[in-house]
Amino acid sequence: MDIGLLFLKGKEYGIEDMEVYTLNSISMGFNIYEGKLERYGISSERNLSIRGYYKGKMGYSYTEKLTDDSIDELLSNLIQYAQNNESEDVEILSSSSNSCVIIQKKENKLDRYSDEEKISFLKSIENDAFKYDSRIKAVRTCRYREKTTTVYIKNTKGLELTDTHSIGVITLSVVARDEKDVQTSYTQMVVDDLLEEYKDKLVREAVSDAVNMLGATSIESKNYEIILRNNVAADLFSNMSPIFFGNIVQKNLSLMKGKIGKRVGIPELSIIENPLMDNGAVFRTFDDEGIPTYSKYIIENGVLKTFLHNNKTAEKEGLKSTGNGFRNSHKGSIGVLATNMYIEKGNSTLEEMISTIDEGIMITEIEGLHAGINSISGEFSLSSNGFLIEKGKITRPICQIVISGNFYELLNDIVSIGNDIKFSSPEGNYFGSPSIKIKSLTVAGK
Amino acid sequence: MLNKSTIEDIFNVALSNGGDFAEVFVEDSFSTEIATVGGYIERGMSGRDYGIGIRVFNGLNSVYAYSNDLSKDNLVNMTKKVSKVLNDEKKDITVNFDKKVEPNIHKYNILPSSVDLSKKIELAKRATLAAKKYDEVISQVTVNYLDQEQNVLIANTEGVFVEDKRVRTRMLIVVAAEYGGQIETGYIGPGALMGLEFYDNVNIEDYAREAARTAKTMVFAGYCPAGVMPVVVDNGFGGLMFHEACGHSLEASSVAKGLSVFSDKIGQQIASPIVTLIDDGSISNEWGSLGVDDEGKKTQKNILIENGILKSYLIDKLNGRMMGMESTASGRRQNYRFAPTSRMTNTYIANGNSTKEEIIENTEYGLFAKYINAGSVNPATGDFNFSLSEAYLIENGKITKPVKGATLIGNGSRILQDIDMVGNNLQIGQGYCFAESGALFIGAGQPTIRVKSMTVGGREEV
Repeated sequence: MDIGLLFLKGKEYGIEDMEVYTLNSISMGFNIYEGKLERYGISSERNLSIRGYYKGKMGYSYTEKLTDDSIDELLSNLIQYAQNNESEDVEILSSSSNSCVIIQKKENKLDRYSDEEKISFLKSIENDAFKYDSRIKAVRTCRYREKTTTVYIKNTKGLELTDTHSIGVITLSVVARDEKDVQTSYTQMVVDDLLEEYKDKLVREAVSDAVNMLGATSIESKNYEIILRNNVAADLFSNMSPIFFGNIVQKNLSLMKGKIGKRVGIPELSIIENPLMDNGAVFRTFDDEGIPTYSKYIIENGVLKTFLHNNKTAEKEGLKSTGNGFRNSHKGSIGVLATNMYIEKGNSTLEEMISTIDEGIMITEIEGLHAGINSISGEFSLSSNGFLIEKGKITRPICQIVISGNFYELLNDIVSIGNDIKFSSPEGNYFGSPSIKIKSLTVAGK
Repeated sequence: MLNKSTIEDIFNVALSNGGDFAEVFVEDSFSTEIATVGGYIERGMSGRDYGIGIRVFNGLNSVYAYSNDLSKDNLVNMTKKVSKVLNDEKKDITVNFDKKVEPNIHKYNILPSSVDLSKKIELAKRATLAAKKYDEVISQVTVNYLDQEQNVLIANTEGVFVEDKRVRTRMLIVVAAEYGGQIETGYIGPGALMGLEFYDNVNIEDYAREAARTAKTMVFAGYCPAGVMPVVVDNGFGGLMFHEACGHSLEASSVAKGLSVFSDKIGQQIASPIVTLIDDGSISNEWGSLGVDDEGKKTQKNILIENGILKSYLIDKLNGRMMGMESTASGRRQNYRFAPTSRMTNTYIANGNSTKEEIIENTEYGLFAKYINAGSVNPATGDFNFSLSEAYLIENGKITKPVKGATLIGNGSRILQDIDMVGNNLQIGQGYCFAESGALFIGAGQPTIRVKSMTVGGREEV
């Protein structure tokens, strides 16, 4: 599609200022199953979204058909949107003066490997998983996916920017079986290179979780001291992370509202959002409004420092955008999103945490996060698996339990923070957390 | 949507580079997905989804390519690249598009693309107003309005060349109630495989008030007790429990590799004799229905469990090859970006003999789940969980106080045996299912049923 023609036609339709946002991506992926290559796939796509003012109101529309004959439909959809947009908030298109971004280019190390090398790396992962323990009877998923995405923004006020980022993701899920029981595990890792240490870590995590859970049973319902292992804490925080988004706060959907400058967690708790992080799910030097991004503390030493803002939400508070004006896809209007978030690591090792517990549970898996958390009240009730800890030692695996508590209370009930950061899935809000020991949660078992 | 000669070229390349079967899925869809908060547009937009997915098999191996650049050069190149991975010799297969497929007919009267956005926003405003007026504790109303006109063309080297038009609309109404610093929500999501005439037949205000009633009830509710107890799940979308508890474990994607708890169990008693489970993608204008599945096969009614005995799995083409079984027209995908796999359509428990009143009266103490929120399952172990959006205690055969924050967990094979009462008031609700081939529109339904005992998670220690 000819962007010049699109802008020209837009003017003829009476659209005052316009911005084009294109998302181009290419991807490759495959699975390994019983030593064989399966489900190899490739893709290439170009998607385009526009926004612009019509009679003083912002309108949006998108198309995946990037031919000139789509222009009329695109513009008329934008106009219909603008005609029905009654928002009083003003969305501003950035001008070229904002675009003096320090261009940081990141080398894509995955490009150094051929498809064949990637395939044999994954084959060795599957093989190692089987070798690690004879009770591993199936490798349910051994998958590699890589994607290179290029964002391009150009508007009629002179702004023109582009950013490219590549990400690789390896997923490993195994099934362990003995005479009496079947257990599974699931682990995922964002990779920027094919390193032996990544492989070892993935295999160790997946295999030991499945094998160690064999023979798990439920436990008596009551309150227990709890360790949320790094992966579990990461999933929980990932799901709750929108409470730090300016638009959520302004709509009264976050109990963090009004707490800037106040203590919201224990003094050892610090949360960072870093758009330029190494090995992140995304790497962005500017956001989808063309505002330069930067790394910042959201919570520092237990005190809430800032919410994440786009132009519109910042304006309402008399603040500047924090560079978090992102679309969730080409079908999304500008909202607020986080890039890479994480809890700063503490000093304790997981073993030290376990050794301090007289009777408690280490939670190693939670399910049903999409429904088991009330994101407004912070109340959660989640199906879980884990291990019983007695007198400082892990004594047996536990399954079929539900842990219940409140996220906001949990921030103040943290006893210690580990030094073992693990990130949640890059498909959701990418959040890293070390293992966390908390005073207690209600556990429903038998 | 794509001319036959280009499709033939794609197939030729696929078959000469190692494939023994090739398929294209071309999509051209118009959709509107807009969220309003308090009646004002908050996010989303209208637009066109457009692209192609090309799939090639050789034996049990499959490869996939997708793109929205439909130029012949690009499609031929991508097909060549993926089919070379199959690493096999050229197959002599003649393709002549002579296999006639007649899709199930679903009538659409008012196409969403013919209606101005203002009419759609008007619907959202009506729902918002009705919910707000319900009670003073109602603090916020969000409406996710969706419509989609999905035009697909599916062709394969077995001679299938079929087009299907799927028109859908739905309004997800989420109502928040606030009282004493507590915020709770209620939701409802009526929808159908239908044009905008859908809204002529339903009262959107009644739906909005129902979501508001849930929100108000839950904001005054106490915490759910934790423990093991009988659970009565009400009719309608409560059927999602079976979608999670056994539906996913009956999908060929888990069964074919022997990874499901129900692998190799056809003909065996896997559920209580009062349980009959059906998946039917052919129901007229139902939310989870289709004319043909996403592999071009006419949708059909599949009886999965009959009187407790496992009769069939949900099978797609590739897993069918692996299992040596025919497809059950269960191959589905969100859009051209996804290779299809076996998925559910409208899944429900058939009517039994009890009345809802009898079921409640016969329960001395337990939990009554009026509305389900959502859930998930691990098909390898059968362990599932789901959370409730509206629940009550049952005490001495009567529904008593509302309780919030309840999550139910169980094991699919055990719970199927533990169903001890099935009502006679079947209803199907509308929702989404997220799995390997993307987010799909699904129906889930049941009459009111009782499970002898389940683990209930909540904040209140018993």
